[in-house]
Amino acid sequence: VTITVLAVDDTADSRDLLRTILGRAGFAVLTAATGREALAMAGEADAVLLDVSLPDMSGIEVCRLLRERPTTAETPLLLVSGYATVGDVRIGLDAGADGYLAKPYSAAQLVAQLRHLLAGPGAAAATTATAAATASGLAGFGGAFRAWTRRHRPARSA
Amino acid sequence: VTRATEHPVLDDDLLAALSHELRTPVANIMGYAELLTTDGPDLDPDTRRMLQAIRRNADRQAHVLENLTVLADIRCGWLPPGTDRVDLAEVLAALPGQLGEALAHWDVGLEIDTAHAAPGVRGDAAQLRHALAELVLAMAGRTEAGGVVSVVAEARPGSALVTIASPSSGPDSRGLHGVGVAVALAVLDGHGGRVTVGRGGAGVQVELPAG
Repeated sequence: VTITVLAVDDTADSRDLLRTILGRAGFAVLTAATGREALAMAGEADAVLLDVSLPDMSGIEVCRLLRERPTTAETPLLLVSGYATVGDVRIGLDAGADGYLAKPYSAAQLVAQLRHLLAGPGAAAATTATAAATASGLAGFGGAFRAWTRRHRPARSA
Repeated sequence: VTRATEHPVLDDDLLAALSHELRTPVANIMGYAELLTTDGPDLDPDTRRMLQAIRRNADRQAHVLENLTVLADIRCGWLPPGTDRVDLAEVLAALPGQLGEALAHWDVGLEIDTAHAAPGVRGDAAQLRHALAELVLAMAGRTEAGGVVSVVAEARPGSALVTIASPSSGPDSRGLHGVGVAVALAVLDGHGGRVTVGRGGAGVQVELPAG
């Protein structure tokens, strides 16, 4: 079964990059450029990649609204953002995101973190790096990559 | 003694804004270059070499952005120094693996001597590793190709001393500088450390309270 991912980013180049990375990894990809589009399309997706900086509303607000809806309350949601301080990450995770990936990211890392969120609690081994990073607040220190995972969601049937 | 807090380069908001605004374009450069490089053996050698140069330089930009963000995190109090007992010899032993690629690109060697290192210091191992790596990188950046950066750890009464030096480094009246150095100074300052920057090959001395 093909897993459908909604990639939300206001920058066309960023959307195209996400579409290409996810498409090569075997996902079906929907894209949205605004918060309103994201809210309208999220119900069709198995997972959501959400930028924080959107033209009509903040991605944080989109995240909160998606969590309030029964149809998307449990949808794996990864914030992918240029806002990268520990404070930014806390705001994102407090809003209900399952993970936070700071730009710039590697394609391999994005796909790994997305698969981890989709896999649910069975994928404990994959969390070691992010858990250690969360503890020190220094994901990928020196390696330029920051990634956080907040909690595990039930495994998706797809 | 140099204290990072005495030399604020940018205020915290501007620091965060700068980091944020550059992260998306750098992400796209890195991402597309990564996709093109992984296209496989079809690439001709010239194209591959040029793509690798784009990736290497984008990685350097990403590294600068990471340092700007870490600096903002430290200044905002989101990265406290921690109180773990940290084995400095272990921290220093990780440097070759961490910096190998960058040093190889510059053709600079790294010699580490921890035979007389202090047993330990208090703090956050990841932050200390990053700070010392940045100082080594800064020293390597002004070392001639074929040269060596030496890192010597010694125990002193009540403190741990780390000397990072490069006999073949050129004279630089500005001392050590750059965003990475600013992060190193902020981390070491937070850990109660003292940093003395000498001229030319005299190197930099880091003194941390033993713990």
